[in-house]
Amino acid sequence: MLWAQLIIQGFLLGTLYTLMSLGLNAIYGVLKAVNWAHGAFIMLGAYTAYWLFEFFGLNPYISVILAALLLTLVGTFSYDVYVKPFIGRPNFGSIMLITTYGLALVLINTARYFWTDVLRGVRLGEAPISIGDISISKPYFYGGLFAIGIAAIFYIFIEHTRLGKAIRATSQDRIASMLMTIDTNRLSRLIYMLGAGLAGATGALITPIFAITPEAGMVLGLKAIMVVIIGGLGSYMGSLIGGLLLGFSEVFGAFFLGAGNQPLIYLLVFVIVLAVRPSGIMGEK
Amino acid sequence: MVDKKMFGKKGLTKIQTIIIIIVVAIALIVGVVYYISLPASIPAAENEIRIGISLGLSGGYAGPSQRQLWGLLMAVEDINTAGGIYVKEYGKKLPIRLIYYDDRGDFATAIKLYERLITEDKVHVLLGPYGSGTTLSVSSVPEKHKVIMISQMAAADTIPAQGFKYVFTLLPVASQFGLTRLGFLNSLSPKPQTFALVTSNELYPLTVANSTKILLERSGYTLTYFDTYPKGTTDFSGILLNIKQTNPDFVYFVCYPTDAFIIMEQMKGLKITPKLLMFDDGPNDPKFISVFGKDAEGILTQMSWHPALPYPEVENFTKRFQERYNELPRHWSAFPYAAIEVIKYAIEKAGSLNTDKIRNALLELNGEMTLVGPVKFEDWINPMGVKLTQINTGASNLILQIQGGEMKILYPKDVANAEPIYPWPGWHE
Repeated sequence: MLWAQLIIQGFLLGTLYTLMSLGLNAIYGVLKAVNWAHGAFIMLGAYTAYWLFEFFGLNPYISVILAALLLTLVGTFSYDVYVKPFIGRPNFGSIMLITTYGLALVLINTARYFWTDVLRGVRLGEAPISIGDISISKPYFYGGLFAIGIAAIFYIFIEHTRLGKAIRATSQDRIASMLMTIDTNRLSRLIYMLGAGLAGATGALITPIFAITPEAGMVLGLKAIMVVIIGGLGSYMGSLIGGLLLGFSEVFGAFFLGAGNQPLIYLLVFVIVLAVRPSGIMGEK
Repeated sequence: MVDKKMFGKKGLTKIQTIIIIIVVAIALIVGVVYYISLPASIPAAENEIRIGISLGLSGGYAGPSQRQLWGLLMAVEDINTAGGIYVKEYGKKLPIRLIYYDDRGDFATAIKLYERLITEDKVHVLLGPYGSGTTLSVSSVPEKHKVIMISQMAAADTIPAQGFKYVFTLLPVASQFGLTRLGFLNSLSPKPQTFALVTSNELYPLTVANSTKILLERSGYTLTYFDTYPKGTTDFSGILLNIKQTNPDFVYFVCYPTDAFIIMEQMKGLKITPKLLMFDDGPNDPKFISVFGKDAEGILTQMSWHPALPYPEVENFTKRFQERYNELPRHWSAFPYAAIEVIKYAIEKAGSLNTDKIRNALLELNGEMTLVGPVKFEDWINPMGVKLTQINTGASNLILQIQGGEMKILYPKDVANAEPIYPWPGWHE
């Protein structure tokens, strides 16, 4: 029973980490650069859900869509200022790392200015789901369900639509895709918006589980980056494996070795993966 | 253009050089002698009492520092409208002048400002800044210059553990917290038998947790599970499942507000219902009750001061504070206010502004009543065996419980305003 409980807990947490990293991964695939502002986008999504709940009593699971839409807007504006002017420069990857880090600071401190450091969170206060001795927190359960659903939709979009095909093609070879008349600049904007939207959706899903402050923007962003690096930069399957691995190692590590050793365990996983496969579990050699 | 000829082309003669050296030497000696004899021969007649502090009015500590200043300003105003503090050696009442600077929450700046308060502003007494880190950094400055500092916003044991002679700690320190945890558990019937303790692995929570753990174990309570977790932990299921397995009576988290918000949700999700559930920080955050609603009922927490305390000045202070600043006062304002009261008691007792006389008077205080309760500065050996000097043993950290959507004081018994809800009714479905 205990094992089942641990596995369920690790799995649900893992799906959230997967979703957290999916947008980051998509952006990396096309732009070949890390979007440091990803965590800040998650934070904004979380605040969106929080304020909608506070003012209109809107359930965060409905806000998921609104938060995603709002963040795609934030994404497109951010793209114009922080990403687009630098596309095509030889050291674009490092430039974007710095500009988006700046964007993260701007967003986090703006949030702090308007909403202060006061803790926010939505608590629905629903009774947990019980199956025998096992009990599952509803926000975790819904969070996991939504994460799987969104990831599945995203997967179908990438694998089975024309646009998805264009994204995959650009990820593999930008120049060749341009020659095949794919508008890679438009595609870059689109993927950045999509990534931001996924971050927004994640943010809304975590409001009933975690507590949010503007600072959470950095912490969550770092976790997402870790998942992506473990799983393999640019690989969607890698996001899934990396997310689950992080979720399981956190839950099992804390249970068997103490929560004080939790970072030790997942950082150990991180180091081992990088030592054995420097490009991540599913990364290209 | 300056004409070089004005100074002559030749250098000074030998005699001229000797005369100049002698004149300069005499002037120097006279000057030094005069300077040294000056303060001794003419005692400065004071017409005010200067109290100095450096505050983090901008920067990361701005919120609490601002409230600290409010408390100080109210205390100074209250004393000055009554004419000031009576100093026997001058035979009259002297008003207080509060001198404060902004250190922007920066340790190095704070150290410089305390130097300045002592050497340039010549303050008679210093007050400690906001936070344990800043206070620890600046505490060697008053000790070096032999000026008294009353620390009122630092709860770390490391400050009184330095054994300083001129630093006094008014706020209850972390290791004193364990005393009320033990006293509270002892006061319950039936007495709880077992406990689980989980703490954030930073210095201050660890001190609270270790002191509680040692005191409870010494008194026969059985520890079923102990763990520490790092800052930024978002998933507590590993810890919580361990607690569920060991099924303790009293579950105690020495945590920050964010952690309590996360743990509450996850604990409910895992259906863990101990007889007593306590979070050091979180339930005392105004948001907690509105966020958790009925689930918050019966949750325990701590505070070092509360507007419902039955001390004589509290009600009046709370009312005036609310009218002026439009919010309820917290310990951030109450302890600074009390620090000024303590200075008043000490100067009146000493009858002098002489530092050593004030220091002796501070050590002689024996339960004088202030806004934060009786004050008595003593040395104390904490449960970990560390000697703390000149801490306020009159102070105690309060145990509170959320009852009917309000915070009620349960312990110490002599200041309590409610009976405990025990055992905890558990999660609301």
